[in-house]
Parts: sequence; C-alpha cells; structure tokens
Amino acid sequence: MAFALSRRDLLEKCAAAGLLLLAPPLRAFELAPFFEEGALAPKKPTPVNELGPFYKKRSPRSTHLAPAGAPGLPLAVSGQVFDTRGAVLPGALIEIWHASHAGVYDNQGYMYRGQLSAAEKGAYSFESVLPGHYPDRVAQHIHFMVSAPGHRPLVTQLYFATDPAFEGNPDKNYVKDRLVQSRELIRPVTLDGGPGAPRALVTFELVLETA
Amino acid sequence: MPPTRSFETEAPPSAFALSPAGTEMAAVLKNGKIQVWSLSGKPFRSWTGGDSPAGGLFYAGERRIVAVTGGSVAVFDATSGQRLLRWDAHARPIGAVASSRDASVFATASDDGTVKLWKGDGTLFRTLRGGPGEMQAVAVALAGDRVAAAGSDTNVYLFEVRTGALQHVLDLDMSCFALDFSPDGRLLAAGSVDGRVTLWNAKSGASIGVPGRYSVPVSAVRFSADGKRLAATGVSINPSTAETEARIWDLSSREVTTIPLGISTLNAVGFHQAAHPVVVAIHDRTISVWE
Repeated sequence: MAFALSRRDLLEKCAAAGLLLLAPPLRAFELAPFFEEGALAPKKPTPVNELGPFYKKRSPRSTHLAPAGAPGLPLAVSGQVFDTRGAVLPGALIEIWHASHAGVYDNQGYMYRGQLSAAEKGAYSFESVLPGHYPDRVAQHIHFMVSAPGHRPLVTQLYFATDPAFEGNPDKNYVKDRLVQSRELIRPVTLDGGPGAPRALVTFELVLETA
Repeated sequence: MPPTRSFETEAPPSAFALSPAGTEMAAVLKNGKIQVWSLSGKPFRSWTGGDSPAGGLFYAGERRIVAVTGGSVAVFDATSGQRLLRWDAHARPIGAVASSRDASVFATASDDGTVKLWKGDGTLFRTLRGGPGEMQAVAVALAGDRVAAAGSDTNVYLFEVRTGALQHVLDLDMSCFALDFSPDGRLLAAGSVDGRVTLWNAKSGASIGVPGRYSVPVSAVRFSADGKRLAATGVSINPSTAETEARIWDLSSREVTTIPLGISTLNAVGFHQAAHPVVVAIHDRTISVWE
C-alpha cells in the first residue's frame, strides 16, 4: 500500500489536527470519567463493526497480547465498560484480537489475542503493539467482543486517528476503508515514553445495550 | 505434481466455481464477463454478468449458475447464459450461496448475520440467524432438508429447512469458509481459518474428528458422490505469501493424496463424474487443472 505522505508529514499533520497528542503524557486511566451511583449520564451505545473471519475462541486471559520483543510500536489501550444508562459494568468479558505489526493474524496460536474482565468501575487495559496493514483491509484495527450478563454482546473495532490510511484527516478519509462505518471508532493517539522508547496510548470506551 | 493441463483466460478471474459433478467450471472475469469451460478447458460460453462484476460465483445444481454482487443475486441458465432471475436478497454483501441437488432450495449467507432460504423461483421462505457476527459459509444437504451455516462467531449452525428449527450448534475454535454435506446427508465437513478440516455426524451433531490440518485457512471442502472421500484445499491468505496444497482423503483408510499448489488465492476442489478428484488453481490469467 503506498501513501503519498511521509512519516514526518503525517505526524505533523496528525499533531496539528489533534489526532496525535504529545506532552504532557496522559495516563489513559486518568482520562476515564467516573460516575457515582445516582448521578448517571446516559451514553450512546458503541457502534458495532464486523466480527470478521479471524476471531478465535478460548484465547488466554492476558493483558499483554504481544510476545516479548515483538516488532512494532508498543501500544497501551484502556477505557471503561458502561451500559447505556451510564452505569459501569465491572466483570464484563472483553475479548481482543488483532494482526501483528506485519499485518498477519496468528491463526495457529494465540499471539495478539487475549481476554480480560473489566475491573471495578468497569475499567480495563491491555498492552500490545500497533497492528499493521494487510491486503483487503485499508485501516489498522483491533477487534473487540464484549459481553456482560443481561446485555447484548458488543462486536466492534478500534481504529487509530494517526493511521496513514486516513492521511491526517479521518473526518474526511475514514470511508477509504469500506468497513469503517463510524467516525466515532477512530480514536486519537497519545505518544508517551522517551524519544528512544515511544509508546502509543489510546482510550476506548465500550457501551453495551441492554438485552 | 504438475497440472494435467493449464490454459489462459482473456482476463484474470475474480471468482470461480466448479460444477457439482466436476464436469465444467465457471469464472467471473475482471472484465465483467462470466465464462464457462469444460473441464478440458474448452470454452463453452460467456456472457456479461451485469453492471458490475460479480463478487462471487456458485453452481446451484448442475444447470444454474448464481452470481452475487454485494447483496444481490442473479441466477443464470448454465447452458444458455440467459439470466433467469435477479433480486436484492440482503442489505449487506453475500459471502456464500449453496443449493439442494435439484436447485429447489437455495441459501444465501450474508454479512448481515442471516442465512436466507429461497425457493427455486426466488421466493424467500425462511430467514435463519445464529450468533453475533456475519454468516460466512453455507451448505444445503442435497435432499434439501437441512442447512449448515458458519458464523464468524466460529459456530456452525445446523437447521432443519422445513421448520427453520436450529438442531445443533457445532463448536469450532475459528470460523470457516468451507462447508459440505456428504451426498447422503450423514456427514458434514468444515474447513476453518485455522487450517482444520473437521467432520461431524450431521444428524446427531457428534464430532467425528479432524482428518487434517493446514497451516493456512481452508477455502474449499467437497465430498465424493459415494461419501468415502473428501477433498480440501487451503488458500494463500494471511499471509498472502504462504504456499498451500490440496488434499484428498480416503475416509476409510485415512490415506491422503497431496497436490502442492504454491501460492494460490483462488482455487476449487471436486470430483469429476462424481468419482475422480479434480483440483483447480488460478494464478492471474492461468487456470491449472489436476485430474
């Protein structure tokens, strides 16, 4: 896949557009809002997105999805799980899978796959590497399937505002990937870590509908 | 093992199908035509498929060719190329089509998460649902009494056609693109994205085992007419540089014949005259046939 923008151009464009957040480094958990009982604010359900052919059952419970030393930009994703009333859903099961830095799914094993439960206040987090591009899909993405008793399973995907496929303007270019049907699923990326050890941080809120 | 024969097409195929009896084959070409050949490579006939090239091509019985474009279905007479029917079947793209032997029941599996059952005249008579996600593959028992559908949630759903009742949910680790009932309806085979080929008793839903495993996703499975052999092939996706092969198992002796296909992103397996294994692999404009 060829992109007209150089990496530097793209990073500058993303930073100017507020898609790439630099200093000060923000902890994703600190970004997540907290709701007290009795002060719930209704939330829109997270848009659904294709499950795709690469889901695999029975992935290991893990918050570190990439093997040690895996190539690619380290990535930390965090957020909270809510229902549409705005109540947090501790214990929600979150299954995650994505392609490697090279754009290849591990179908024989469980690399870049894992499941975890939302903690108190519905919080979740995991670490991996930024997924690569692969033929037939334009945009980098991470798959989620989230389930909680009494709620419809949420099947969705997370995209990255810094993805070269969006050419620094996801508002306009998100339709370049025909499967990206909602701009809301494209999240800004925060870079933290030192110059020699950058890491991408992304927050992604998950809102389930009642069954 | 070199192919029995190879021949060139006028444009690269984007979709391909082998007829159920393995006597002819059809492709959607990237120039928009649908082309039919004998197994020997002799062009029988071609016609323009419609406004935009079809995304998928399937035989419904021996004498009907079904082309899908997005969520729409067009049924052609395989002998004349005449378009018999066309309708909008699903709001989202159709991934697979299958039919009973007499083409009186056919099924469309869609990204909208449903399998729809149609009479031979294109009348909808049942909408079937599985779990969350898309429906990726579908098979109809030759007698037209049962349908198997593979969801991207990795389950295979077995339905009774007459009532639409869900009879069994068959558990796989990964989803499949390939499903086939044995001609007597006793067995069901599935080829999964994780490379497994799995067999079940299609009546009880009991697993019979895993006759084989590929290192790439399986794209096609097909029983012989006597149900004693099973052919399967892998496909070079994820990664697209992976080499693959076709295998034919004797299900009694467990003997296996392997045909290396190299890198192959479009291929098919079947049995010519219901007995002799046939493997077809396509690379750019070249169609290679192993008999």
